[in-house]
Amino acid sequence: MEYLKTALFIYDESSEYAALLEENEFGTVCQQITIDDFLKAPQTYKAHADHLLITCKSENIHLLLQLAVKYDFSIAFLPSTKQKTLIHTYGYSSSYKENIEIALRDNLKNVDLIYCNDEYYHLKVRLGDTPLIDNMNEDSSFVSNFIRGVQLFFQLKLYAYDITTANEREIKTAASGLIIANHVRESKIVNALFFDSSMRDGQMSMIIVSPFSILKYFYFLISILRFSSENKKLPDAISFVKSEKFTISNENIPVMLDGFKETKTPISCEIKKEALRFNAPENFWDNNEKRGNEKETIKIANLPDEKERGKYLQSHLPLFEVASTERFKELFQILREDAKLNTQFIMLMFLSTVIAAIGLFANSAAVVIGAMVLAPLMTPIVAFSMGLLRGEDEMMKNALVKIVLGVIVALSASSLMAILLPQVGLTGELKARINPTLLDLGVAVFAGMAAAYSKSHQSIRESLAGVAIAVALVPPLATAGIGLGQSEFYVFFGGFLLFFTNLVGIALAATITFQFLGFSNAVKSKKSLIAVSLVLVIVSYPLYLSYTQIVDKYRLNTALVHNRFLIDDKYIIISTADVISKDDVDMVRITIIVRGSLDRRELEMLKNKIQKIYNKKVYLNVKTEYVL
Amino acid sequence: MKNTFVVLFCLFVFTACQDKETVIIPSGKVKVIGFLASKKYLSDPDRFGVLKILERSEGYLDNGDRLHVKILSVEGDPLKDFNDLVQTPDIIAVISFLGSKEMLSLKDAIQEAKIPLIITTATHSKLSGIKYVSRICLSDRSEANVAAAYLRDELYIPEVTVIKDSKDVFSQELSALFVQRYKQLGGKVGLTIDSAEFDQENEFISKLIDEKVDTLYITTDAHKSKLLLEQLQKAKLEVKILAYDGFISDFLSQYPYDAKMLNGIYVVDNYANDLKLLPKAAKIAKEISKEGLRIDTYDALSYDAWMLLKQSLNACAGLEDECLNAHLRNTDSFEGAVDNLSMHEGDITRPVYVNEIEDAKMNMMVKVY
Repeated sequence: MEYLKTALFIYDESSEYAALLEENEFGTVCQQITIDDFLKAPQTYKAHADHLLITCKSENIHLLLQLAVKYDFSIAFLPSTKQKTLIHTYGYSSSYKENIEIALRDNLKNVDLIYCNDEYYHLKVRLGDTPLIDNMNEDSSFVSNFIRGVQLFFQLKLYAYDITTANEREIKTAASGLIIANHVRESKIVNALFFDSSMRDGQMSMIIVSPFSILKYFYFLISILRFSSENKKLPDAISFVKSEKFTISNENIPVMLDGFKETKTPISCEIKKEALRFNAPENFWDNNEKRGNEKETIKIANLPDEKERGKYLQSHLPLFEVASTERFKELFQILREDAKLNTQFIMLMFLSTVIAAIGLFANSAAVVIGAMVLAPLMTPIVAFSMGLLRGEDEMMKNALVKIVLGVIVALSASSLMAILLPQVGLTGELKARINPTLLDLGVAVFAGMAAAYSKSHQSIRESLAGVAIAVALVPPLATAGIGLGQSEFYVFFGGFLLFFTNLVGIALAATITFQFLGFSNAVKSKKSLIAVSLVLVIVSYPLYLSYTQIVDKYRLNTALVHNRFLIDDKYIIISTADVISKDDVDMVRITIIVRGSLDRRELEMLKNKIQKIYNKKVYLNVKTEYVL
Repeated sequence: MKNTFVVLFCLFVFTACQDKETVIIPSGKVKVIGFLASKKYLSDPDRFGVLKILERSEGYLDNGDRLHVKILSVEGDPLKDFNDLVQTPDIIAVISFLGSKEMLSLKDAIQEAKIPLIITTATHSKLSGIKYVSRICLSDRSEANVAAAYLRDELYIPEVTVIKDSKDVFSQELSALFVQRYKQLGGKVGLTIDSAEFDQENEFISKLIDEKVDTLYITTDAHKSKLLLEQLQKAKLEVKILAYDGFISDFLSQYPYDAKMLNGIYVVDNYANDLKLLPKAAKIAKEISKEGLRIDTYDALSYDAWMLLKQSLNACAGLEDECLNAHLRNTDSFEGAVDNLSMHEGDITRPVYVNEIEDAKMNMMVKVY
């Protein structure tokens, strides 16, 4: 490897490089000059050498860059360990000795520079805000940059940008920020965004960040980490333009040049091909292959156009994306139709209830599930939720009328079935629907989310059947109706509580999900939301009570199977235990294993001991198994 | 008027936020509780840490009288020590940590002294029915019943070998009751080995191997049980072992570094380490853990004895003598360490735990009511 004979070492602070250069083993004579001396008369140093070895802060590098181009100096950086962007962008080493070896090589190549508003820049130009993407300020620490980034993240807003490219292509859009660079490596995100850029292709890359909500921006940050050169699909919030020149004509948008110099738009940047002779490590040249005749590239499908951008230019971005009526026209149309009462709905409600009632009487899970799928009650509830969110009174009213009529039809049909069919007592399917707990509310909430989500995505709308099964609406109604028909009011209340739990849970969860999905940035019908939430709280109380009852029973069951009783020297093992409640009376059903039979007195003693453990009076149902 | 409401409201809020515990004003009177313990129980200096904590945190009666603990270690004649202890001014009751043999020797002295005595560790059947005696630990009979039933009806063991110490009253009675009950349940007691045989070059091990013994019921003390376990380990003889109440505590207080030897042994006990303590006991356990100690069977029994005594003293409101004894011997319910317990004619009704030892802890297998 050949090395340069002479070089000028320009520094602004004392550096370890000075001593190492003095004793360099490559035979290069280095004259050491402070930046202040050099700036006074740069051309005078040309007589000694025309290669600058630069160890300076960003702003001084910037000054030297202008002079290097002007007086045709070649340059090489000797970065300090703190100058991470320089090290990463140009592929320097953390070893000062290695960097000196690279800087003194006689292997100079020309690189492009960005020329903005009559000055040269070598790293990047940022317009607007792109928090947490790039280093906000080169001289600040990572932590302070991060804190500033997080602050900006929650204050994000979109600016109007009128961009003109070298080929006079006009892009009028709204974006939070732009980054222009021809080759920069600093953060993982920046590296991913500029993975295909080069300092030797005669063009600049522009990344336009245009999220419609804070969540969208967050999603973009996450997704860009998964972005790879193989999968070149850009995240939704990102657009990409590559050109020789960009002019941004809008006014007063903040601009940061090379991470240190602040200014405001308008700004015009163009690429100055091969503007600077430069020395860098081999890996830099490998990543910056010389390319010629690159075409202008414009990928802006993700950007709002001039017509759309007006509504995005609010003070700050909303947390959730606001969906336009146009964008979700089809869904609204479907939901409006879903909210309207029609004979098909009444017919289906009647049929599904009859099927559910038969399934409940026959204790057939399959028939009950069939009724769940057939039941049309989910659609008006989802429509009600959308009405609640968007403040569409008519949709809400129609949906509510439809739900109420559906309930009346279901209760009447199932009551009639209970009167007509012979009494078969409480089947397992009926019993399963008269003791709702908080767990049922949990199912309803998640089913409501699933319903709203599947309804808002055309491709998965068919999944609503699954949702309907998960949170059955008609079987509990049928149970309530059967309770009415048989005058068993605890069956009616249990079944109706389960139905009501599902109804309220779905409605509220679907409303929140629709908001999360961006159908509105706020719940418009606040009074209705409060009313539904209040009902949910009221419903939750009995559910909580029955849940704690179940937990108590579970605890008793688990305790009982570890319990043994010694009565009159007879060792009694409890192998299974179960507690059922009816009308405030607990029936403890146990299977005991015992060596000899127990008489009435001994069974009474056993009951007393169990009552003492349970701390309440119980009925005891004992099944005996003998060990011989 | 408005200010009055504000003041009343503040008072209401203030009083509502106060701890509901009754404020006790000390009367200045002291009542002494004697603790009579054999050297065996006091060999571990931390053994009665729980008593000191109880004296500190549960030491006042409702009438403001202070309970003070006087611990006396029995090193020679228990009768002499008992008589000395009951002479202590203001003594109102004695809690004993003596073995069955020592307690039986005090039978007449207790009647004479007419001072209520709570037994915590002596399990002999003959200690039931003594007028001034209340026992809060298991009796040998219930322990033997549970042990026999567990082996026969839970583990379906057809034959068991009994290891006993014929010189120990406790071991003798427990073994005899166990054998009787086990046979009643249709089980066979194959061998009965006396710990005296341990000294004769341990020929008993060959007997165990020859007879293909797989289950042992042991009633020997910690020292002799250790000899047995060592010999079993040496002979690589894997057997199921069921031991008695207090076994783990006695063993660990003497051989704290040999806890691994106990892994897998079943014990019938008054307590198990994985039980949830009742609120008051949990507070005491917290205090114990602050001092780097861990609650064990004897701590739980000390706690139970203290709570029974305190409840009875409060019920008698200073009229100690007969009232106290009557309450101690017949109490429908008092809060023990892990269960609500009751006393009937001086004998406790308490659940018996069958535990398995693992890493020096007793894990409950079954709870027998």
